[in-house]
Amino acid sequence: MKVTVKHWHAVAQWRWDTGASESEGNDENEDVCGICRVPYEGCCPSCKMPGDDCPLIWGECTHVFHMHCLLKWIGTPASKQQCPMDRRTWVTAERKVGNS
Amino acid sequence: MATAALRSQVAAKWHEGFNRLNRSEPGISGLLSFSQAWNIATDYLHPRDISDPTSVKQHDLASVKAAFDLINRSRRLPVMLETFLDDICNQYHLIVRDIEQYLAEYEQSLDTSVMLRLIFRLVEWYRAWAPIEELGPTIRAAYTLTFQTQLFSTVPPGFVRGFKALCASTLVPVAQHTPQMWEAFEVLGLTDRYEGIIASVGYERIEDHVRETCTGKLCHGCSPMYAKGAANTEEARGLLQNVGSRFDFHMNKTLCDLRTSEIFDIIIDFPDSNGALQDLKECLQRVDQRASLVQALRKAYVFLVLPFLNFPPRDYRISNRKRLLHPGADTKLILSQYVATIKCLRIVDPPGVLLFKVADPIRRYLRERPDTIRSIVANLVGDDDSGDSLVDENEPIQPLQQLETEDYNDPHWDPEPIDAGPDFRTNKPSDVISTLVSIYDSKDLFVKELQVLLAQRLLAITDDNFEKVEKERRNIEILKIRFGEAALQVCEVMLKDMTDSKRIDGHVQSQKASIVHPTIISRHFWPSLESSDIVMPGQFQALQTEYAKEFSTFKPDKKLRWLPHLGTVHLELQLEDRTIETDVPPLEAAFIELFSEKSESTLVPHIWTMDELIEGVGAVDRIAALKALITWIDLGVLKEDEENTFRLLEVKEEAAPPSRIAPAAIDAPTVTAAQQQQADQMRLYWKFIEGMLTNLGSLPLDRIQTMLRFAPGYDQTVEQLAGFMEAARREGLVVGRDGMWKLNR
Amino acid sequence: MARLPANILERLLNLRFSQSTNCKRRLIRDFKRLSTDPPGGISGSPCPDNIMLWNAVIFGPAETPFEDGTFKLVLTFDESYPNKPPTVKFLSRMFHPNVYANGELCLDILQNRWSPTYDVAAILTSIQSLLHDPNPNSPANAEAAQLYRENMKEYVRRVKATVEESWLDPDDKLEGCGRGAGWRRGPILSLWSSLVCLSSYVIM
Repeated sequence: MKVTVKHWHAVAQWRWDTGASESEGNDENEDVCGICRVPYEGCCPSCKMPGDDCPLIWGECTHVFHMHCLLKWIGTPASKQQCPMDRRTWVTAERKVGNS
Repeated sequence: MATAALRSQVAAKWHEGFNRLNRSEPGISGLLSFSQAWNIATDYLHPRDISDPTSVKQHDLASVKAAFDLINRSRRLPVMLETFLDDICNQYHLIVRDIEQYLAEYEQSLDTSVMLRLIFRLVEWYRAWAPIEELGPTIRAAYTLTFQTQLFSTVPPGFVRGFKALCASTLVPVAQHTPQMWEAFEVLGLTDRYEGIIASVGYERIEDHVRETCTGKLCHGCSPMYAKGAANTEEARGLLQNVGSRFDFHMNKTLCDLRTSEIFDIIIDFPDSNGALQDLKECLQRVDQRASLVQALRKAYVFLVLPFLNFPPRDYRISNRKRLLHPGADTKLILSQYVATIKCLRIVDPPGVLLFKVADPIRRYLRERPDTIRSIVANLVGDDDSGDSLVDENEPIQPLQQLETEDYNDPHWDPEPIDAGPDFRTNKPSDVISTLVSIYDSKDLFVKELQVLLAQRLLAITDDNFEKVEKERRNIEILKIRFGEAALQVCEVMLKDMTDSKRIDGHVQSQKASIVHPTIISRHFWPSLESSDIVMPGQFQALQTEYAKEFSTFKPDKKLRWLPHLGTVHLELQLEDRTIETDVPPLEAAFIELFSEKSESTLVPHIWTMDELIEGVGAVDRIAALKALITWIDLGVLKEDEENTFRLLEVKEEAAPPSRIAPAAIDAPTVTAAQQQQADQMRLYWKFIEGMLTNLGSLPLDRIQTMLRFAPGYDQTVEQLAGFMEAARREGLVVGRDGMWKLNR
Repeated sequence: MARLPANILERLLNLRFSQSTNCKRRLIRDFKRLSTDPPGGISGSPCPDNIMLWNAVIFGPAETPFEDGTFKLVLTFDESYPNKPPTVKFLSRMFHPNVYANGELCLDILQNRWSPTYDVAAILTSIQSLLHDPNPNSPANAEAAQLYRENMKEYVRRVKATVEESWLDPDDKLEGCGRGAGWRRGPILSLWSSLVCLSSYVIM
């Protein structure tokens, strides 16, 4: 018998590729943005649409936030341009942003 | 021995009398002229037999008048009157003779015109015997009284019956002579004397008329017709003023009772029954029947709801409430009745007290039914597959009304009606959807259910019918007005995912054509879709990986995570002797892929056990696996040789083997007649099952069985039902998936 | 303490504070976390009528002079939260080197070392550990700092006095929040009342 797939209407979820090796089925411990505490695949409190409209931002320090959340923090004088997690000066990683 | 004193007294009296009669005329000429006048007068007054033409004499009215004048002057008028009234009594037998004649004729023919003629004849008598006007009202009144007293004391019992019939006959529209008749009644004093009878004729007539003309005629109200009727007999009414208001009340009460007894049909026929509702509204304003209406409505709903409660079926079978009572009567139906009730009661009782009293039990009941929300939501989204929309299309879409407390600053505030209970909540006229949503305490539940429904519908959309997305979008726009923008934000994301998926797929296909066309959804925004751990085998996995890679090239910061249990696969199976093309769920596809792999590698045994198959796709529960395998068995691709062992049929085998569920039915007693009987019986119940599945979408077997038990005479076991459903599936009537049965549409 | 499922809590909160700003949304998440996964020895909840104003209780850590104390605090947030820290103030009278007489704290994470990744639970936990480990080098209460360094016995005695006082906290200090009537008599009652305060959110 030969099975030929003519058409496949499949369903998939998109995930941010945070670089963390994804252990399948580990859905419960989903990552949240440390600032707004909304999951990465959700959107920051200022946004209504997730995904490309509300992207993530990676720091050299490997910390990841919703871009809008981080930029808002960095914009405050109190932030001293530091990563909210480790207080190192924030440097946006080249890895993900800008090469799409 | 007369004394001289007495004698002189008598003489004086005589002299006085003589003088009175002689009026101081010379000699006895005065007396003579009096005697003449007396004769003329009594002759004139004498009650004659009007049926005897010879007795009729012509009188010179001038001389009659002169005679009366003379008598009056002689103050003999009272004596004259007495004589006259005596004559009336003495002559009354003439009238009685007539009455008896007419009545005999009437009783033979029962023709009310005879009665009418009798009445007119009596008037004739009355007129014929009546003294002239000039004698003044006193004499006239005395005459009338005597005449009537005589009449009433002499009429036989049959007269009353005939009279009643006559009255009744005149109520037929456009009765002739009616004004004259009532006039005659009045002349004869019948209206006063028989007021009770006339009234009862009216009551009976009203009841009959209301019943005859209004029963079942729900579209045109009857009150206006009555108003017309009243206008026709306005003159008659005028004579019966005090009766009039009683008639009015009686009419309202009768109509009200009638409409109350019809309330069930009124609700079902709404809006065609608008007229009847107007009747009810008007009547309720005049007669206090609200409590009985509430009772009737509640009863109607008990019938409606009964099949779902654990009442013995007998109870409703004896009632002749035929509609709604088969086990398939479903939430949707109850909802639409509920909506109709709301609409009806809003017409009848705008403040909503009745509605509250009736609707609250229904609301409580609906709240407990699991599919109520879905039913409402399906309706909200419009185009739900079954039947009419609950929502009136003309009704303006408006934001949901939340329950408010009373606003006493409202200039239009009215106190609560007197029969409002302590827990009555003002239900300001709101649109139907608000009322439906208010079955629940919060709209959140609805929004959640809405999301689930939308998700199901969106995931069913493929490239072939992508225009449906736009339709869903329009629906959501409408719903936004009701539920607010924020509540439906999640739906917006789902819709955007749909269009994004299409765009992304377009791009991916342009880079590297694939037969995979995924819907890529945003996590957290779609209602939790049951998860699955199946891993697609063979070429499917390859297809997934390839597509995911291409996706990540397009969107470098994202990756795909497949939900392999969702979607559909269009497959072509090339077997030795045939080619089969079919659309199947992914699990089915995965299994057949396993079979194809095995047939490639080992050539000989295209045989898999259930456990091997399950292992081959990761993890899936046995029931789902069995379902998937049965799909192929039914398509004649697989065969279950022994339990849990499946063989690929490279070459078609005749006599499609019975499916797994079927044996239960076949194992049943193999008496042909009994089987036939059973088949016939099941055919009968197919209507019920079809009804249930039409209304409720899909149902598990045991639920179908539970509902069928309400059907009269149903005695099949659940195994027998399973066999039947399986047979129905083979006939393409139903489809079964994951233990749920639904109609094959 | 029986907890409501998180989704119901969130729903109720969303209902209650439907006009969410970013700040409010974050506070709802904070409350959700605090309610579903509360760190030991702290409790907190927003005022029923104002989510920007929170009441909190810190139970004095065991094996410190603060043991058994139920110290009430009020946290005031503004729209810039979490990019700015809330104002935190003890309502209970404190005797602690880093707490000013008016109840305000001297705590670095509430000032120059604030991070938007902190939430209410983190703030309260930090304050709890401050009770444990005072920092006498940045004294807000010079006397307390001095006793802490030089006369531990007297320090402990003075702290114990505030512990007892904390059980009897007067209502009048609870400004702007209608739920004050509950704070009284002893840790159990106090705990109870804070639960009442918490559950009033859930019910409404």
